[in-house]
Amino acid sequence: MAAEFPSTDPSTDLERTHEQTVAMNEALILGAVQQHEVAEIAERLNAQVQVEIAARQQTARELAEKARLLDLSNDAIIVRSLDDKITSWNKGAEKLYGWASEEVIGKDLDSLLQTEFPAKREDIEAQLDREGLFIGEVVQVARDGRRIPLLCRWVLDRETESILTSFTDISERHALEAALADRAADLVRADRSKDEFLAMLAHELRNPLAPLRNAAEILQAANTSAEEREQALSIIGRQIENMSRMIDDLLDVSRITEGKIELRKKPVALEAIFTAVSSLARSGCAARHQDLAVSIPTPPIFLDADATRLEQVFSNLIGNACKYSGDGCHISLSAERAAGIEPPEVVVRVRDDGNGIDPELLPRVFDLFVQATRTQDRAHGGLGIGLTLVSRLVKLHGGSVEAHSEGLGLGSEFIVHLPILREAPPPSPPPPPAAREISRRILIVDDNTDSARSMAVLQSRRGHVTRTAFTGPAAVVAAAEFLPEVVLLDIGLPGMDGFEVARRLRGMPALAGVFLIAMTGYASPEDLLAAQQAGFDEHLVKPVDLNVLREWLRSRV
Amino acid sequence: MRDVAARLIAFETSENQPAGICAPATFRVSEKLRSHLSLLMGKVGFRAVLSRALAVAQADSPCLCAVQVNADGSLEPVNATEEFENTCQIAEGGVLLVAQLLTLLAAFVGEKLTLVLVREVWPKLSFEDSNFTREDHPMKPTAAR
Repeated sequence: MAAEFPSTDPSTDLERTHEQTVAMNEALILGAVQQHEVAEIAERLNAQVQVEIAARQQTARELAEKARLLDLSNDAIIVRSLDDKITSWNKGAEKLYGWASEEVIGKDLDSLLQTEFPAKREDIEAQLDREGLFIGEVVQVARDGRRIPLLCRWVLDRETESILTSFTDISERHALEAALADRAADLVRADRSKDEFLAMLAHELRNPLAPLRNAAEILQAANTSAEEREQALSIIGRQIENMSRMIDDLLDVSRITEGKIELRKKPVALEAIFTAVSSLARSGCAARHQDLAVSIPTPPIFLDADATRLEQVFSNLIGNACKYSGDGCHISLSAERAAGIEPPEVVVRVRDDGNGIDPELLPRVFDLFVQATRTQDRAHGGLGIGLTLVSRLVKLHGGSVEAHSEGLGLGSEFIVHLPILREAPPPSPPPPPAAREISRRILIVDDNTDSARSMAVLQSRRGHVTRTAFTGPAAVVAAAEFLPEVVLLDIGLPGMDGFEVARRLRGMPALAGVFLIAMTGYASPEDLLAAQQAGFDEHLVKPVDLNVLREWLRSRV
Repeated sequence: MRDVAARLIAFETSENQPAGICAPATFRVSEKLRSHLSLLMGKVGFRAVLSRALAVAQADSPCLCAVQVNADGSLEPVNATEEFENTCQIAEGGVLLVAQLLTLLAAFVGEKLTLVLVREVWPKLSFEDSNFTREDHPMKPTAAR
């Protein structure tokens, strides 16, 4: 800008020049002002652009975060256009179906994924168009051919003209539902088994009554021959033995289930167990003309076991083999030391060529109350608890048992694995000599008068002096008068229970040292403890084992 | 530039008006500059610079909306003058307006020439100790303020 000042000399040229200069300055100033304005506008626009850029960057960041969140989801989240072209495919979809995003973008979703819909596709599309939403279960086939059950949600986004779809893998839920259904079926089956068992139990407990009644009739008849009398007595003994075994089995199962059974383990030779088992089983096998082959292992095998319980195990297995094999079949009991197994174990096999086991029954053969079909079962009796007992007793010994059969009519084999001792135990000391039988004064107390009287007769015949009482108070009075050496005392008595009677007797100085024996139908550890606390010396489960009682009368009183 | 502007307004106030009436002083400063600068850049040129200065100053002092630039480049209130007077805000607005006018002049013709011109208008005033420096970049528009 030329900074010229007007001259006092009014020369025309100078004035013109001045005017021109002012005009130029004016133009320059106007240009500068406009430039200033333009610069301001530009800066304002620039500021707006910066704000917009920042907003877009924020939006981009948020979108990226959302995309990452979508990728974190295990669900397959897919966006497709209205003409079914895939526009978005998250990591969940990659994992679920096996295709990477780059492989599927732009492809037709229906062509890529074979889908079984719960309804007609046209109906689903119509619902989506009408309601903007479809939710349902579908089955899709992944890249590797897996068929995946999925919960599918479709949302129609009219604004972007796309369909947002998510698929949740419900395989696990389906598996759980199936497991639940199986469990429910198991429970129904177990309930049915229980009902069948109760019906069978009633039948089995009633069964011995008829032969017992018949035997009693025979014994009462005046013209009964000695042979008939012997047969009747044999029937009575056998039926009582059967009932006792049945009840013992039931109690054993209950005790094992409740964890109340205690093994009395000590070193025992397997040979001794085999001998005891085979001697018990031979008569049954012989009656059916069955051959029982027992192979005793050499060198001898010793176990740390409860011999009575193992005898129960093998008796049950041989008893079953005998029951479920026809006349003339072959049964074998064998054992061998398992090779190369640590800790060492013996493998015992009970094999028969009898009826075999239905393949459907085989997996459940050790379950409680499971038996072969009723028809088949009723021919042989039993409660369906024998194999459960076998399995649980073997398990209590630290072993295992398995059942094999090629099918019905093809025989069966039960294999028992039991841990064994590495070395033979030192020989046990010889048993003490049997005590001489002495006449005792015995008070027998039972509210079942028949039971009390028959026991009194039996003990009188063995040379003892007996007296009976049928109520608690009567027992206390009888004891005070009779001064017994031994009292066989029932627990469930009218007027005063057996525990209270025992306490009263223990309080009578005249009865100091009296041998108190509880007689009950209960034999749980709690019952034994209660009897002990009431002052009883011993406990006998009904029906009383007379041999045990005889031994106690000889040696303990 | 605020310093110089404030000094010019203070001078015009003390010379011609009772204390506290600031707006007319601002007008007189503007008028004196118009008379002198119109000779150099023309009335249109001065009007353009003053209008621009007013527009920029209004952004910082909205009370300046009550002021307008006439076609001849003179400054006058839009409505009643009494509303414009006696307020510190208006006084501050006047300082801002004059400062912005000087800032634009410095931007367009340079600081030295601006100072020469100011001295020619107010020869009694000394600006030796004034802070005739750029508080803002002269070409930097006010949008960012």
